[in-house]
Amino acid sequence: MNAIIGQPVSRVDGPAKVTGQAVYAAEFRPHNLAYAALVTSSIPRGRISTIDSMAAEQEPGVLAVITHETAERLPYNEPKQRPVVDPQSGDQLRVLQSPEIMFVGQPIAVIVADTQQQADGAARLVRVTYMVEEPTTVIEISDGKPTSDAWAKAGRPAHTERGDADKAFGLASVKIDINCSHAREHHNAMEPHATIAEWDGDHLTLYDKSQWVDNVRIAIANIFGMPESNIRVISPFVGGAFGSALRTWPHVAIAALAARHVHRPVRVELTRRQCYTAIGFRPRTLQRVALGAERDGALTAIIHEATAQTSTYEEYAETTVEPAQTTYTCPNVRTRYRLVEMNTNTPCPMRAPGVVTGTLALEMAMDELAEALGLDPLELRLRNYAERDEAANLPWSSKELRACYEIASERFGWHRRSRQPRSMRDGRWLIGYGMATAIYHGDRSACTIHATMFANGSVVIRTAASDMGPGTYTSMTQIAAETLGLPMESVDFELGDTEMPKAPVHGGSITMASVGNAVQAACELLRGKLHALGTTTDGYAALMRSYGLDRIDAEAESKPGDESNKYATAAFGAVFVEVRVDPGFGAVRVPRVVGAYDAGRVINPKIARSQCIGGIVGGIGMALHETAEWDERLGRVMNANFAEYLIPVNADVVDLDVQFVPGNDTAFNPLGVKGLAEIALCGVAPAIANAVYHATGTRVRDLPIRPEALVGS
Amino acid sequence: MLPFAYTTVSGTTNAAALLAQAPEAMFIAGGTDMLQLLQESVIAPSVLIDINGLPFHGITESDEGVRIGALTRLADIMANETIKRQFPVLGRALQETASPQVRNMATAGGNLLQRTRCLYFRDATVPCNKREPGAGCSAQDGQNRMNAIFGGSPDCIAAYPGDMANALIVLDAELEIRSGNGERRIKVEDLHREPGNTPHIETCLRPEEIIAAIRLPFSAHARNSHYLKLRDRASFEWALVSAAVAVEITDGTVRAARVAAGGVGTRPWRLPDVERMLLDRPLNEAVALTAAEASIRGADARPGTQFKLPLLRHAIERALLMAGGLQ
Amino acid sequence: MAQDDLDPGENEGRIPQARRLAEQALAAERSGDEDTADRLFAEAERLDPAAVADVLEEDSATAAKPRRQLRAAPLRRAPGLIAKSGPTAAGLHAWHPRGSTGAPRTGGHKTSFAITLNINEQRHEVTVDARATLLDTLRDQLRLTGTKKGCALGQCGACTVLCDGQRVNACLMLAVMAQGKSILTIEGLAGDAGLHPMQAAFIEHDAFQCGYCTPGQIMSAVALVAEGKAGSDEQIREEMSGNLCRCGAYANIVAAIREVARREE
Repeated sequence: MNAIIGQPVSRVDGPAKVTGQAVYAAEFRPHNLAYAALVTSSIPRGRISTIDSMAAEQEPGVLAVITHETAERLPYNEPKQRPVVDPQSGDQLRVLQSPEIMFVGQPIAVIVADTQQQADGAARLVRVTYMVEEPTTVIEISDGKPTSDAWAKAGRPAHTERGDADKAFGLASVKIDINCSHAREHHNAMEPHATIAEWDGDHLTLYDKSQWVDNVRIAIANIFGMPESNIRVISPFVGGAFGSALRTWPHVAIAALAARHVHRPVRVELTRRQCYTAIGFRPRTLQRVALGAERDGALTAIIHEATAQTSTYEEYAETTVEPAQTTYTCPNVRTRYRLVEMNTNTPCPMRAPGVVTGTLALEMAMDELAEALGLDPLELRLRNYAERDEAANLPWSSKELRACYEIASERFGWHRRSRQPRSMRDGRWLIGYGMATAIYHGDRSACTIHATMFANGSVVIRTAASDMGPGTYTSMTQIAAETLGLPMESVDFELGDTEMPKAPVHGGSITMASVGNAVQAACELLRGKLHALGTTTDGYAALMRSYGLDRIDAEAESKPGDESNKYATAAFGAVFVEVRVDPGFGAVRVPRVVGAYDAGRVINPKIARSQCIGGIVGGIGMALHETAEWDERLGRVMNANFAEYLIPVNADVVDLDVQFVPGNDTAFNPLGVKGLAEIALCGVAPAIANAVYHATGTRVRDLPIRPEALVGS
Repeated sequence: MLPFAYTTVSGTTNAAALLAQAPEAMFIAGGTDMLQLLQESVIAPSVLIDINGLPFHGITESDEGVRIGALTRLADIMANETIKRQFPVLGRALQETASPQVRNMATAGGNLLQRTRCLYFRDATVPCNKREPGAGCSAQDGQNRMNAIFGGSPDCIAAYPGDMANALIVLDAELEIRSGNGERRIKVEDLHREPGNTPHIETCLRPEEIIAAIRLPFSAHARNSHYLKLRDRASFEWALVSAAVAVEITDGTVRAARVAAGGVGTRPWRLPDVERMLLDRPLNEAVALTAAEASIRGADARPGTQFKLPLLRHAIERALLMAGGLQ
Repeated sequence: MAQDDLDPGENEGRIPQARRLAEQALAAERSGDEDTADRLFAEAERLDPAAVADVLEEDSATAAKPRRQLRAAPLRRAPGLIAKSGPTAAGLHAWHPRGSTGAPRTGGHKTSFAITLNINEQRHEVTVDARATLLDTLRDQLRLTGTKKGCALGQCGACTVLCDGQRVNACLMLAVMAQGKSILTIEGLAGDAGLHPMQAAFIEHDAFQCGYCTPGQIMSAVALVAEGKAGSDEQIREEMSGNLCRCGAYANIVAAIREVARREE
């Protein structure tokens, strides 16, 4: 068999992407397309008193101004079961159905016009008056409420405990007790969210930016009270998402509503500013981590408490306190999770939701504990290595974290790190080394693949999956080609259409383990059917022709077995970082990052590496740049653009070294893969924070770490 | 954007006449700030008058100095060898301005007139005195880390965001100002106004006046000039604080000194106290430190801008050390 | 700015008239006639805001009262920071932008233009709204969607195209102002012989993930090499910082550009 899996082949969709031929949601052109612009609320809480659309309606080219007074009533049926990407309690925003305002940026009218310029211009002419009510715009730990039963059922309880953590902490020889926080962060994928809706009678086609087209179909069917079979959702390319395209957002419903209203296809494309309110974000979270340890470094107690923000209309909870339960061995662990309801749009998953921020707190606390113990930070991690998942009380399906530590620390030159903070210099630069552990639970879901071989020898593989950038098109083509014993050029992998077999959400690092195994299963089935015809020395095409067959089809579903009853699964990583701080200016630069990852079997090391360097860049942003400048008086994000909400630019990224530890987790799934997207982000920000301390001697526990915290340090 | 008309002009008289006919008209040249202001509805002109056809292009050199046409693109100024050699602070400031794409589009005149990045000015749905006189200043107690610590008033603390103006000030640059009726000259230093209680009036230009050119005189201090820009990320960001210095040192003694700072003032901010501390002294580490201490005199920082005080001191000190050949 | 610096004869009458009106307005205000004061101030400000500001400044220098705000609006500061959703937030939220009536004030000038654009060495006849950017015209009217819209504010570089050989942000250029210029977009980069070396290098070095910023990165990179500024990794990083990549492919982008630049040396 030809070895294609594991080869660093180039992306199969590369030519389309470098020539501008890859088509993203806003770029479809149904005949007679009309353009929409949203009018959004400027108050955080209250009711619309009057909404005057006269001037807007009189603008040339304007087809309709739709408000809560003129929009059709939509049923908004409750789904049989809420998808895991949605808040498990509360009610989604019902678009243009009532005058109630719950956050700044809430869509309150939509203008549809012949051109985008006409729609945008008319949107500025809609005059709205409000009855203002007192909003909640501040996150305070004392206002935190436990998560609901619905979330507890979904695996995110308000409280967990094993052993007696408080007692053990009280008795511990060495203690660390820290408070830390991170900012409200926005996904800011380069492609703004966009939806084009087109009706044909009672059939609806949506061209949407989505990580889960099947879920969009279900959501819109419920919102409009129509059969799922009458809805088709198409999303072949997604210009980045990082979780922002998991849910079905209000503007998708608005596009469908507006298109039905004007009897024309309608495009809704969010402005960059609207991308801060019309979709979700990573919620600001306040955390406390208390660690107790013996003198030799053995952890005796972990207490992790987190308070995050959610909206007033939906309860969105994260797995922030999960890493504290699984990363290290410890007999006594207590966690507590609270939510503060605020007048904001609802947060949503953003790359490694919860885990990355929980890891941030835990790994900063571990660094402080190492210092208190006089231990090397890496040594402290090794002394508390978790040989099993002590929360689930199961062995790991695989765990190569020790190898990650070894490889990464060796390549980084960790042994050169001096023990004392502020003791390494290069001219006026203070140098700091820091490290952190990364962990992200492994998961997989059911996926169905349809594989067809045609008599010309070409194969088409289809499923309603997504590729927001990690390379689904490419890696699945590799798996299919290798399984069928064909060159990659013979295989077309298609995705992003609800007409295709069902696929799970493209998030949570589950695509490879879910879709990949289904591709393998379907191709094995197809190969079996071909082999059943006869010998294949002349190739499948000749074989089919000899039987007069135009095509052979195979469809297979792959789904989790009982492995999760026997094993716990996680991807692991070790991240080592060098920072440089100019003490006069307080700005932190990151010249070097080394990350080693145990992600199971790696299908394509070239694109896997890209995913990891991308995660590191995201981590640099999280540690040093990203923050929504939230005005508590106004209840709004003031820096809602790319000039003032800072993400790293090319000049911020220097030397990135990514290593994969060989792995093959067949206890988890037949392909032996784990997940990669989230683990690549986890660990970067705490490693940077720890390195900043090592460089400067100043502990900064509230991220991002900006010159404010370090100038004159 | 609200609807607007568009027209071109080829002469200054023409431009002024057009503006007189339509008082809510505005000039557009490079468009790099104008388009942002239009997209976000910060401004809503009736007519855009495209002045790219005016004869204000190019860089010319004489015995006294260099003249930069106001429509010259920033990238072309940066690339000019005389500028690099004779006015290094300008070349450096431009290299650190915006992005290569923006520098290919933005003009010298337009760069001087760019509007503040104050978050409340740029969000057209919140009160701002600069955008709507009398509306109130939301930045006073708001998210204002990028706002000014010098020259503010109860009505406005918006920082002047540019880099080039700071460099031009330490180079003693002058502007040629044209209108339908002729020409006048002003110092670049006199172009911008402090907000007072009229923050929407940002310069001393009359409505129909246009900047035609920047004049840079050769000088010993211009040749020893430096720009230092501090940002959160390594590139493509406005300054938290920037320092422009030009120092003439003869026989070990400072004979002329010009010092200005960006990111800290409601207008490009000259620091005469610092200059005085340098004059007739040797530029050594001790003098640089003492002079830099004077840079924050009179500053009025908010909790969100407090960090700019040490940042400014350190930036000025570092830039002076560069000028003294000590860095 | 002092008036005395002006040459005599300049700005004939306009500034003195504005000053005169402002002084009259001030007098009206002192006598308590706010309506007249408002009207006169508005008129004066329309003529010359700077002159009005000067008058007010001179006035406030002598008067021991708060300065008057232009346009006769009451001076109102935003309420102070509210500890926690305090009631004064209502004052802030009750504010409305003055907005526009939408009435055209275009003084007879055109708002729509039939223009010819030269894109990828082809002439395109198109009628555009004066408001239309080159970016929107490419994407929505000419269906050249390879040029991407990331922010529409010149802050991300996704819309980078070459204009007369120089890289520019298509979102910052009005379509009507692109007349007479030669525009090259990603669709025009590959020749008959196949991909441009930069396109091939981006694939080889996996210099993207989602692909959305990629056309802009490539156009920017092509210009960078032509500018001769791809001399070192450090220089490439700095000179490519106008192109954001949220997938974080920067290191691979630098590798791709380095390779092309070395080959062209």
